[in-house]
Order: sequence, then C-alpha cells, then structure tokens
Amino acid sequence: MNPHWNEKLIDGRQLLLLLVLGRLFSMMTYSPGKEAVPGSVTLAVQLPVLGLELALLLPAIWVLRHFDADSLLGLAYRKNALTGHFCALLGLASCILQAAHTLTVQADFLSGTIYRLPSRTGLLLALWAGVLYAVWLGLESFSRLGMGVFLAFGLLAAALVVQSLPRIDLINLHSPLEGGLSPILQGTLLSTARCGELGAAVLLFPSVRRDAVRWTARAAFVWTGFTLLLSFLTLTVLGNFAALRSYPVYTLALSGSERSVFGRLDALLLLVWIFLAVIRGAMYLWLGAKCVFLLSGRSNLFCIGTTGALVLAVCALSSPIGRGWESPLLWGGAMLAATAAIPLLAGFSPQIGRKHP
Amino acid sequence: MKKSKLILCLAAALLCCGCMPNTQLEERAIVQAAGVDVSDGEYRLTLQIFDPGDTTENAGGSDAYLLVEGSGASLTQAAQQAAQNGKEIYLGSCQVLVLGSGAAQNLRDVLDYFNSRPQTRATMMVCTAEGTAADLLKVADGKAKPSPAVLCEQELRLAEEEKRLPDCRLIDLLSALETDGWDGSLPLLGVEGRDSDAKPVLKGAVALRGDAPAFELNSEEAQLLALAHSGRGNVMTEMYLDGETVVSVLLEDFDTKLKAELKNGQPHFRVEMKIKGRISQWEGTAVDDLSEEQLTAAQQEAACQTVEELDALLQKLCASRCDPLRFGERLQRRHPKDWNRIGSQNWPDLLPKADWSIDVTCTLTTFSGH
Repeated sequence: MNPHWNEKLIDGRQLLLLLVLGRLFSMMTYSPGKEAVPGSVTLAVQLPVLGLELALLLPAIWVLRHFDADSLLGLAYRKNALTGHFCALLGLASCILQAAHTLTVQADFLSGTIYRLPSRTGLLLALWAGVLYAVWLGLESFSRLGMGVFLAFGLLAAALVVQSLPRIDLINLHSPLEGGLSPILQGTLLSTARCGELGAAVLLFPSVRRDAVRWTARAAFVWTGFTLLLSFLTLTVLGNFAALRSYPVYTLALSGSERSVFGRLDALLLLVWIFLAVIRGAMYLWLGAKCVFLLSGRSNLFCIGTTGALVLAVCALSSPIGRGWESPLLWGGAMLAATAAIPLLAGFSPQIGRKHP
Repeated sequence: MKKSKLILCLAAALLCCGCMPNTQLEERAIVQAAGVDVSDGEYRLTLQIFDPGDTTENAGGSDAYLLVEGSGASLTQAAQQAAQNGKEIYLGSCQVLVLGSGAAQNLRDVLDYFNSRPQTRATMMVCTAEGTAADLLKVADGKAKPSPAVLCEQELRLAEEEKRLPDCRLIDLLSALETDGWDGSLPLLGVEGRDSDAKPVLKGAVALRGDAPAFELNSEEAQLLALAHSGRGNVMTEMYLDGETVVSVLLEDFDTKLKAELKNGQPHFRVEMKIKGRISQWEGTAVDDLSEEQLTAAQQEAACQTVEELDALLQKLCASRCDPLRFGERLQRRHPKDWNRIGSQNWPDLLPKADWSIDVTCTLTTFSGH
C-alpha cells in the first residue's frame, strides 16, 4: 500500500506542479459573469493577489522555522493532543471542501455543458472513483502524472494564444479604476479566496524532500503567469460575451473555426481539464486522508475510505446548499483555516503532557 | 507502471464518455443552418439538418441534407416540433443562423435562445434575410448544391475575410448587446438567380440600434464600416482625375484610429485612417511610367474620396442614433467621468448632435512596386 503518510514522498518540482495544476483548475472555472467585479479588475489585481498569497504563507513559514518543525500538524500534536486533533480536523474539513468542490464543478461542467445529462450523479461517481484510485496509488504517483498534464496544458495554452491572436481587441479592456478602489480591493480578496492551493501547500510541506517553501513561491509565480495570460485572452477575445458564458475559457477554446487546425481545441481542453480535476481532487483527498490518519491512526484503507465517503457526502450536500456553495466566504474560510488558523494554533497553543507520536 | 494504469483508466473513462448520452447518429438531428422567422407572435424555425439516410448517388458528404420546420409560441416549442420523430437537435455543427425581418426585431430573445444551448458555437455566423429566413434556406427549391448552409457560410466568411462586412459572429453580436456604447450590425443576405441557379448573396448590412434593426447599409457602406476597424481588405475603386482620366486603384491595408471625446457636452469623433494600396490602371499611361506628380494626385484623390465616404457614413449612423464603430465605448474607456456624467442611456440621443474630423492619408504604389 502506498500512501506512507509520514514520508517525504515528492520533490519541490512535483510540489510546484501539483499546486499549479490545482490552481489552474480553479482558473478554468472562472467566469466574469459570476464574479462581483468586472473582468478587467480581476485581471488587474493578479499582481496584488500574488503579493497577498505570498504574505499568507508567512505565518506557516515563521511557525515552522521558529519551532524547528517540518509539519504544522505534527507540531500541533507535539504541543498537545487536543490542539493536534483540532488542527487535523480543520485541515480535514478544508481538504474535504476543496476535493468536493473539484468533483462537483467538473461533474457539473461535463453533465451540463458537454454531455447534457439530466443528472450529474453518474459522472460524479466516476470521477470520485478515479480520484480514490489515484489516492490509493499514492502522492508520488499522481504527482508524477502532473508533469505530463502540465506539458499538455502548456501546449494548450500556446495553441490558445496562436488561435486567439488575430481576434484580440484591446478595446475590450476597461480601466480597472472605473469603479474606484473598492472593486480593486474586492477583486483582490475574491481572487485570493479562490486560491485553496495555499492551504494545500502548507499541508504538503512535510511530504516534500527539500525547499518546499521556495517551490511554493515559484508555483505562485507560475500560476499567476498562466492566470494573467488566460484572463487577458478571455477578456480581449470574448469581450462582454465572456460574462454570458458559464465557462469562458472553454468558450475561448471553442472560438476557433471548426475547420482550422485549432478547431478542436475544446476537445484537448476537455481532456486536460479532466486530468486537472483528478489531480486536484486526489491532492486534497490525499491530504484529507492524512488528517484522518493523524486523528485515528487507523489503516490506509480506513483513512482513504472515510475521507472519500465524507467527500461524497459533501458533494451530495452541495446541490441543496445552492448558491452558498459558491460563496467566497466558504472558500476563503477553507483556505484561511489551513494557512492562518492551523499555524497560529500550532505555534501558540501551550505544551501539555506527553508529546503525541 | 502505476502511473500507466492511472492514465489508462482515465483515458478509458474519457474515451467511453462518447457512449454516455446514448444518442445514435440517426437519432440526432445535426443542424447545419438554422432560420428563424417571427410573425404574429409565432416563431417559425427552419433547420437544415444533415441527412445520413440520403443514399442517392449525388448525396454524399455534407451535401446530403433535408429541411425541417417547426413553429410555436416560443423557440423552444418550435424546436420541439422541428425535432421530428423525437430526434435530438444538435447545434454544435450549426455554422449559420439566418433571421427573418420579424426575428431580427426580437434579436435578443433569439440570440439568447441559441446562446443558452450548450453546444452552440460562439463563432456561428448570424445574418438577416431580405425576405424570410425560410425562403433563404429553401433556395433553389430546397435542392441547392452545395447546401444553403454551405452557400451562406461561404458568402459570409469570404466577405468577412475580405473586410466587406463587419464581424457578425454570435460572440460579436452578444458582446455588442451587452456593451454600452456599441451597436452591432447584421449582414443582409438576399437571393440572386432563378430556379436551380438561385443562391444567397450579400446585399449589405442592417445597422442595429440596441437590440433592434435601425436601417439598411448598402454593400459599400458595410465595407467601409468593416474597414474602419483596421485590417487588410480588397477595395477596388475607380477615380476620375481632373474630371476625365480614369484611374483604378486597389486599396489593401487600412490602419484606423478612432477617438471620441466630449466638447461642450457634445460628442466629438476623430477618425484617422492610413491606407496603403496600388494603382492597377491609369487611362492612357502605363502605370510604371507614372510621374511623381501623377502619383501624388492619385493619392490625394483616393484620400479625398475616402473622407467623403466616411463623412456620409458617419452622418447616416449618427442621424439614426446608431454606434457600430463603438465611439461610446471608446469615450467610456478614455473619459469615464464624461461618460458617467452623460449616462449610458442618453448616449444614442447625443449622437445626432455629434461632430467629427476625418484625416485620411493614402500611400499608393504601382503593381511593380514603384
């Protein structure tokens, strides 16, 4: 059996790929029509967002260095069992939410836009099973898969650029300051709230052989670059039409002529997108299973099965929750739980009794 | 090995997805072109669909088609009626949407319907018909070869490539409808020829005001509108120098800058156009023997002629309160405070009061490059 929760399984490059691919999945689901701020604002705030993302990593880095630890959850258990359990529960909740979000978004896209199925349940179960299998194979396995997916995504992005170049119309870019500073601030917070990968990075640190922080920072630069590129293309090529589509990046891929070389970029995007969903879902489910292991100390089968069941339960609940499922408070909260609450609790809770193993 | 297994599983899952909707080819109506007419509040949908059952000798490839119709109080009802024998209507291959004059009056409803279909391509060309959309798709008594969809698409795409037509894809029209200070335009197709020789041809364009047709533009005006957006085109024009010498000029490269501002509360537009072209014929003289003075005179005349045409076009557009050149959007972008002061809803009413300056420079060479 493969998960080996406490071993250093991946190197920095693999961490970078996992984080970048996870963030790119979120970016593919971005739609200016669903956001509270215009697309030009979202594009303009990407650099401040990068700064804020790096700043949010600081508490975790400081705590790890100050206490000479390599794992926040391990440190929390070192302090006392109660803090350890609470932090593990926080991490578990955050990871389950992110994994469930990944699966539901992908199932909604496939069932609603691609296959037009009356229900997403079948696809959801298929994706869930695929993700569980990837987690069963272990972090190292699906991290290695990330290299191929990243290359495919790079090719896709390059093809999108070539296809979109003749259609770029800069008049579609409006001044982000049209509405004053308030939308800028709002856009910065919204974009940062969507970056659950910061939480994943913090929880993945102990599984990385070395230079985890440096590679995480590099990942932030890479995903910001891709976000800037695809947001720019979406805005300048699709204009206000982007706001009318649920998946503008997919529409961008579809905007090539059916008979041109790039006429079926949508099929390539679909393929890459499914792999992105599986890798992102597997990353969070693996992290969630690790939290269950810390909480229970039980077998791998139990940890993965329990986390998988919880993810499936949250997926089932996402429909009744409705619009609340898209709330930035939910996703911002999940991200902050891992990047701020766990480091602060692990760092500042008192040491009581024997150290937890 | 493990990675290979994972890739195999995912690839299998992806490849098997084709079976999921469980719709066989013969159960699916693959739409190649759609026509919408509205009269007395009733929608009539005419669909040219691929006919896999047509096995006659000349029916091969994409030429095998049949026309189906449906009508109802809404497009959804009309589509349900058109989907004969319970066939599932598939719009992913629909390249052309033709609107009859009644449907063009309900432009937003019609476009929203097609945009809401998940498979609809954003690049689908949208046009309006001189008569009804059904008549255009039934050109040559429904026996046109190639099919009406191919004929319409060829005509529109060629016109778009040659800059004889402003952008008219679904994406352009919906963007225009969603943007303050930008009115779209629809290509106007009519039928030329008789019986089996009849085919759709471009007759000009219809300028929109908001989401309703405002007035018709002839072919030259539609072309000028397209060229005002910069790019390469093919405009063959004849000029009379000194009132008698006939000179033929091919204008090819258009670099246009459009600006908008408010002066004393009234819109002021600035159009700067740089044109490059070639002299193809000079009455009585070989073009390679032209003097510097003759070349300069031709350049000035070409520039003057373009200024006059642009002036006439702007007068027509502003008098009709239409803004397909996106002056309003430019004003909003460059001078947001001015834009907020006048309010987007008041912009069309300000257009008749607009004035403008037009500056055209034309550089001509001969075909041999002199």
